[in-house]
Amino acid sequence: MPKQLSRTDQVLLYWLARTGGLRAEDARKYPGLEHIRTTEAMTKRLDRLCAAGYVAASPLLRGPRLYRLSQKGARLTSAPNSYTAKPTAGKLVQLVSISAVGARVKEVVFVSPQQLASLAQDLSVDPIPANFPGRFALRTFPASDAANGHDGETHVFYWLAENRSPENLVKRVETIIAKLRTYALFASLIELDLFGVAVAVPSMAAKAALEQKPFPTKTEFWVLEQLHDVIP
Amino acid sequence: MKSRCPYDLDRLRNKGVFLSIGRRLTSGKLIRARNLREAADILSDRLALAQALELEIVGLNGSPSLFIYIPSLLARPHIIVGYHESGLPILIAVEDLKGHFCVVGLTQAGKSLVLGLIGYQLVRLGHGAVFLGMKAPDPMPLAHMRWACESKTRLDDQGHRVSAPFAYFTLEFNTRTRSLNCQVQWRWNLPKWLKAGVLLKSLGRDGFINDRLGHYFTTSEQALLQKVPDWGDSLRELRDAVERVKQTREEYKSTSGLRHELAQLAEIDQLNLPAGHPSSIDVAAMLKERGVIYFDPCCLDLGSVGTAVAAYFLQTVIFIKRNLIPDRNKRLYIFIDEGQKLPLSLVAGWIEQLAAYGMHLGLTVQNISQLGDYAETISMTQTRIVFSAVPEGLTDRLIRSLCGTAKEWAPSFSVGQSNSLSAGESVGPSGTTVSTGSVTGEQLGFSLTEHDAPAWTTNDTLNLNNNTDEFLVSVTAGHFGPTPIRCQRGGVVIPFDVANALAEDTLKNSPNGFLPGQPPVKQLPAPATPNPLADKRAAWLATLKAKAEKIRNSLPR
Repeated sequence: MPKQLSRTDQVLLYWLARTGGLRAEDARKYPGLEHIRTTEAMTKRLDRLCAAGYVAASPLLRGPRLYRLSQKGARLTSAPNSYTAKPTAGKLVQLVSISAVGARVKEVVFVSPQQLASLAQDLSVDPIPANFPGRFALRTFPASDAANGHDGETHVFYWLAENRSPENLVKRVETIIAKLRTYALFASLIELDLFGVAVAVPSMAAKAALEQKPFPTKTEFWVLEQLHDVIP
Repeated sequence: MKSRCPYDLDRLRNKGVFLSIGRRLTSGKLIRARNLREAADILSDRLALAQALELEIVGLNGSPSLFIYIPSLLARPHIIVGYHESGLPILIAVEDLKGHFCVVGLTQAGKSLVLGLIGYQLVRLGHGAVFLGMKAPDPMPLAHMRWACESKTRLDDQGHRVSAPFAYFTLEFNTRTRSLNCQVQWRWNLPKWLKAGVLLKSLGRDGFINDRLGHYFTTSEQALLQKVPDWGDSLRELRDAVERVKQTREEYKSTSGLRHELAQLAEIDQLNLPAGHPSSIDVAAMLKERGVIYFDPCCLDLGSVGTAVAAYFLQTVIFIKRNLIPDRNKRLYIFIDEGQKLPLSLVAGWIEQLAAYGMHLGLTVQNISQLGDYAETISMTQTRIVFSAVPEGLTDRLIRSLCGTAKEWAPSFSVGQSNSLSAGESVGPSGTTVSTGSVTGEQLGFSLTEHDAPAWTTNDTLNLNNNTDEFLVSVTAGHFGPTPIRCQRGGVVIPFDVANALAEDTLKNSPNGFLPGQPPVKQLPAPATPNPLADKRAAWLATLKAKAEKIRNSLPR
């Protein structure tokens, strides 16, 4: 890391490399960044990194901007090059949702494609490509969560945040599951009830509508009101 | 006050209720109830009633019996509340409880006992009930409710006699109880503004419409609850979620009342267990099966915390009944012992509105003046039972108004005497005439003047207070005409020693109860069934957990 970057800036770049993008309001909640007390201070810090060329900002439909790594920042942090591309509208939905949730590391830890490949190696199954598409997370259920019978267990979840109707979301999940089943890792995880899909939705109403739908696998719905800023 | 036959027989006949005093109505099969207990049992057992044509309830102390034509009882069920001062049994139509009822009396007057007696018969007749004891566990109503549930007076689909479910909840220290998580009872995906409104109302945090300062706090709290992204499945989770909401300093101050109240409720184990817990009471299922929930918030020890818990519970019950069982003919009776301990604005609102949704309140209070600004609304209940009153107090004035006036003749006497003396002198051609005269008269008079005077006097109140066995019953548009009747208890349904034993058994041996605050009993694992995948799953779980830990440990701190 260059010497002119402070420890906080380095941590910020690290989280940008892990999540793909952050909003100032969410960034304050991430481990190592909690000492930044206000959103304004975080915004200022991110703007400084922008000016230094490490970070780029993307405007959203509403609300504050989303910050992501620039080419320079990606080189510095060894983040995938795809993180530096200007995000499409669909990509923005995913980045905003991950930004909102990524700080809750006790419940959910997003894994990079390399970490996913290393997991396959640890589990002694056929390897998966190092640039496997999609965002995956290790979801740890709280110890007192008796409702679903997974007390304290850690499962692999596919993170899905897309602006689609409930019917289309069901179809999308079916497609994803069908593709994932072709890999030994995911086929075994599904068979052992260690795999699920986490769907980010903008409201309780959307969650209620989706709960009525039959999904082909274990599905969780995360209500994230921040998604209102990216959904037309 | 009527002293002889209390019943308006013409009106009863018009309503289709045929009864006779001292004379049989038919020559058909007769069932005889010799005392209050037998009368209550038989009146509330429709299956037993259907076996005969006529019911005789023997009067008290040699008074004539009351004979009732059973088909009219089956069409219009009645309950017994005691005996008239003349000894005749006093029956009230269940229909006359639709407009709610209220029992008033000083401490130890026996209000809870009457509530228990009425509840006992209504539950046996097949109605669902919720009993809210606002002080501490009271053996008499508790025993009445439980015994009523265990009576097999209902039929299942196969025509077998069955009992009703009973659940007991208490906040009493060191007492076994079921758990009741109100949050998980809401089975509808309600919008947040609605859930927030109901929560604030039940916590007594609304009602500031005319108070601008209070309104400011209420709206702040509503806004805070609406900001919470996910309310979770218990008040504990809601408290945590509320604490995570980002607030300005001003917002934080203005919502501190709500946050503190949530913090109090979140600490109570029996309110926060998950829905799947074996001790959990499923309110919707209980209402559907027309069972009884005995809810004891233990206000004697807990004060406002108990009040908040009770109000939240009742608001939940009301919401579920309205949305799950909207049929007003499927009735739910809500008994509230010491109703003045609940937020009075809530109680008044329920009295005004609940009957339309098939929910009927039975309240006990010590005197009407405890009801404050809502005294008039809450006194509007259709049936009123008064055990005692403070002379010249608000309750006394209510009784006096209910009793109306009586014609009285005021006698007056008059005694008069008159004397007149006269003297005269006249001068004429024949000379001068001098005359003197004296007239004496006496009058004696007696008159009677008619006027209206209160039919109930302070002396009557003193007499009522002096006799703990007596009470007044007033039913608007009921069987007894416009004025109250004077009644006596005439016994109990469940003797006190039996009631105490039943209550103790309920507190100690209720199935699925647990002792709050105690560490959970460790369940022995079930013998593992051979499963080729189980070992693999365990190994993979361990790997996933280790991987997650490794990633977490590598994160910056």
